[in-house]
This record gives sequence, C-alpha cells and structure tokens, in this order.
Amino acid sequence: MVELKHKVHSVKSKNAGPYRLTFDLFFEADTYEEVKNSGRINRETIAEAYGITKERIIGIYFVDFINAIKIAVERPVPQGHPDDTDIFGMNQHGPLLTLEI
Amino acid sequence: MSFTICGASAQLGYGISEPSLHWLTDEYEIDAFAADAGSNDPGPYYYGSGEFFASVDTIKRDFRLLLIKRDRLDVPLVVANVATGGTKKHLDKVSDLIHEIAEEEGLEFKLSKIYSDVEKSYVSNQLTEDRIRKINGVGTDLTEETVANASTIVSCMGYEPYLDALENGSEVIIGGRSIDIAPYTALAIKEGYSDANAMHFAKLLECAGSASEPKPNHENIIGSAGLIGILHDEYFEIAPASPKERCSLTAAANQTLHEKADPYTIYAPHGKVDISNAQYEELGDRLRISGGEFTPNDTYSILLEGVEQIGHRTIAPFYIADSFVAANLEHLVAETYSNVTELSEHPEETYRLVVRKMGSTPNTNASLFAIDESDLVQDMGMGVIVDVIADTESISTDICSLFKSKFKSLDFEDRIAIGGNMMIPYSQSEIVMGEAYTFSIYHLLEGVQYTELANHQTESVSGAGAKKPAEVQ
Repeated sequence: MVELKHKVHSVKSKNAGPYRLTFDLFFEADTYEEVKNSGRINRETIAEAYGITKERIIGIYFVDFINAIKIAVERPVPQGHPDDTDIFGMNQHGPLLTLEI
Repeated sequence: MSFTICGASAQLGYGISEPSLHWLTDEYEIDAFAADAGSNDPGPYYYGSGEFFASVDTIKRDFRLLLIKRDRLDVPLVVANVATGGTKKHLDKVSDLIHEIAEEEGLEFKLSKIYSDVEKSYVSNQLTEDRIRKINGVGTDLTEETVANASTIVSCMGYEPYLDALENGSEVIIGGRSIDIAPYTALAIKEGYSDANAMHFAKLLECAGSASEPKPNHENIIGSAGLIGILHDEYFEIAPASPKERCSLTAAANQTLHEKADPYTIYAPHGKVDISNAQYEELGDRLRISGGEFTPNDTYSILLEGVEQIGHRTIAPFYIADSFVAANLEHLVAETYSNVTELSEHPEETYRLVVRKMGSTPNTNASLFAIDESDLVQDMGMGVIVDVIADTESISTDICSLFKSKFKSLDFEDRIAIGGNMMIPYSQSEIVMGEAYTFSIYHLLEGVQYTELANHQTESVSGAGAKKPAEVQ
C-alpha cells in the first residue's frame, strides 16, 4: 500500500461555491486505472480521512476520459466564517492524499 | 456561419496581455469581446464592503484596452461579475472608470449596466411564499433571521438580462453578480445557437486562458492571453489567444472540472446541460467540442448569495524565538486569555479571540543580526497570529492590544527571557482588518421572472471633447 500522494500527478483543491470544497485528482492513464480499480476511493475512506460523516460527501466522480477523479464535500464552515482559515479552499487536500492505495 | 468571441480574461483586472490582444485581432475575425470579472472565490468581504479584489489600476487598464479594441472593430463588449463582488458598489465604481476612459480616449458607445442586488424585503416575501430552496438538499434552510441579518444579497443572473441589453443595441454591457457563463451564453443565443452549444461553449470560454496551455519550449507569456471561441451550428471550437499556446484536451477538461461539485453538468437558471457524452477532438492548436445535451428547468431557478457581517477584526502577528516560551505556548496563551477576560471591561460575549500557531520549532537564531536584507525569504521559525473578531472595531483592537500586553510580560516557571515573551514585528502591533463577513445565504429562488431580479440602466457614454484616441497597432 502506498499513499495517494505518491500516485497523483496533481491535485487541485478549491471551493465550489461558498459552502462546498472540491478536489480534482489528476493521474497518468495507467495509474488512474489502478487507483480506480483498487476501490479505495469511496465514501467510507474519504469520510474517515477527513473525520466527517458520509452524508457530508456530495459526490465522487471517475472522469475516465481525462484520467481524473473529482470529489466534492461540504465545507465544514462557510467561506468567511470565524473558523475559516483558507478562504480560497486551496490547501484542504492533505488528508485525502494520505489515503492508502 | 460561425461566430467568434474573444474571452478576454477569466478575471478582468489581472492584466490582459496586450501583445496577445493585438495578435488575436489580426489572427481571427472577432465578433464580440466578453469577460468574467469576478467570483465568490475571494470570499465574502468583497460583497460586504464593496472593495475591489483586483487592483483598480489594472482593472482600468484592462477595460481601456478592450474599450478601444471593441470601438475599432465595432463589436460588443460584455463583462459580468464586475470587480469581483458584482454588487451595486462595484458596478458603480467600474462605471465611473469606464466614463473616465471614454473621456480620456474620446470614445462613444451605448452602455448598459445590469444590477443584481436584491432587497431583503423581496427575499423575505419569497421566503413566505415558500419559493426558496436549499441546493440539492445541502446546508440549512433559509430563515427570516438570516435574511434580516444579511448585509448584502445578490442574485446570480442568467443570460437573459444580457440578451435583452444586446437586443436593445447596447455596445458595452457591464453586469453585476451573474453565473459565469452568462455573457457568453447571451452572445451565442442572440446569434441563434442552441442552448446546449451556447452554455457548453460559455463554460470553456469563461475561464479564458485556463483552457489553453503553453506549447512545449515556449516561455510563459506575461498576463492573461484569454481564449478564442468559435461557434458553429453543431459544435464549437476553442483556439488559443496567443501563438505560444495551444488548446489541449487536458487543459480544457481541467477547466470543465474547475470549482464545480459536478463535472458533467452546467447549470443556469433556465436549464442545464449534460456534458457526460461530449466529444472532444484536438485539431492542431484548437479543440473541437460537441455533444452537450440541454434540458430546460420546469421552474426558473436562480441562485441567491448573501453575506452577513460577523464583526470587526483585528489581528496581531508575533514571532516566538525563545525555546522556553515555545515549549509552554499553549498554557501561556490560555493564561493570558484568562487575564484578558478578567481585566477587560468588555463582556466576553462581545468578542472572540483565537490564537493560531505556525511552526513548531522556534528559530532561536532568528535575530536581527541574522537577517540579510537581500534574502527574499527570512526564516522566523515559529509564529502566532492573534485573531480577534468583536462587535465593534474598538473592542477588537482593545482585546488584541490587551492580549499583546499581557502575553508579553507573562511570567512562568521556566522563564528566563524577562525582556518580553515574543518578537513584535510591526510598530503598529495590532493590525485593524476592518469588517469581517461570512457567507450566509446560498439558496435557490424558484418560480420568479428574471426581470424581477435584474435592474437595467442604459446610458449613452460620450467622450467627445477628449484628446485624440490612442493609436492601436
């Protein structure tokens, strides 16, 4: 098992509106197949990585034609909330990249 | 018949590349210029305060380039989400800039301003009429209280008000908060292209240069080159705005995923486009795209965005270079806070203080003697930012200042550095940030006419009597 951070080509962490975060994981073609087929990117593993309930995960998409996986989750707090330390949501991918594949 | 639009920028005010702009008007026959000039991404402060996120000078520069170009080619310029926030304050300031440019450059045109600010009373009524929904069931239902506490509410306009303005002969259109595809969709629909084609096309164009990438072995151009979009009946193409770029599948696909929760659907108040069966074909430097499928909405559904002021914020950054302070930091902060609440005349409910620590190892050599002024990065080891949000600016500053004084001199068992417990980097040790806002409304309003939410004002702008127009290459 290897951490996801060693499998991705790049990851884009951003807001999708003020109440959601979205992570786009980009892979090389063969690595994408491996990661997708491993079944290790799912609601359970993501919920555990972020310490949230599965209901907070809005969607997981395997976008085959560009070897990318998109994950959307509810933002723990809306943009601008006193506890918001990342207005643009650019650096929220850390826990996701620790997933073991 | 094809129709060519130059997507001039993903964020007007970030600096359009002037050489690219001149190149592309030679290379393509441009039928219109459009740009998205804002987003909710920079956060609620810009909605609430009316401040600009991008530099005013660069916004004016970018507008000047485009206003001159569109005048020369006699084609429309349509810009949405002006100055990031897209509220009335933003629209009015940008309108002033446009008038200045017209004066300075001797330009004349019919200007349309489309406001999307919404009155709280209107939203309240709609709430009573049960027309407001959570998006896909996510989040909390909108309440009367949240509406009452909002400082600014805007609607994310669809293409319709822009189409109206184009059909009324407006040559320059600036709009407030809108869906990012609005200006491009309006231009495409006016020319008779299908909703599917128009909206899919718009999605690629609105982020402009993000859908293209530098060709191998070309150095990066300075500034945004934008993107060219060419509409045909059954498909569209995107083409680079600079000879140094190409539109690859990866860049374009990256863009359709960008900042969206769903990679396959493009939403607008009047309907949605499913792009899961879209076809993409690389043709030289261009990308040909088709295959989006449009479904109209049963009910017109427009997004409302609102922000609420949560208080006034003051922060104070300090560096910690003493290892005994560093080892005891958590308890020192707790004790300081407890002193502050005891000493301050302000009730604890009127403020909220949080200390955020960065770095876990103090750089005990981070002294004034270690700094080389030619260093771009100076390693300070460990730091904290004291963050106070309070009901008023003076409370936030008082609390922050009191915290600083108490923390500085707080004694503790292992203490040896009795001069003070931290480095204060600035002479103004507390930094007043101003009003703090949070997003509070992000809900769909269903079943109303778009005309209830878009407020048009049209005027003739004339720069007659100004100096000679600038020469364009």
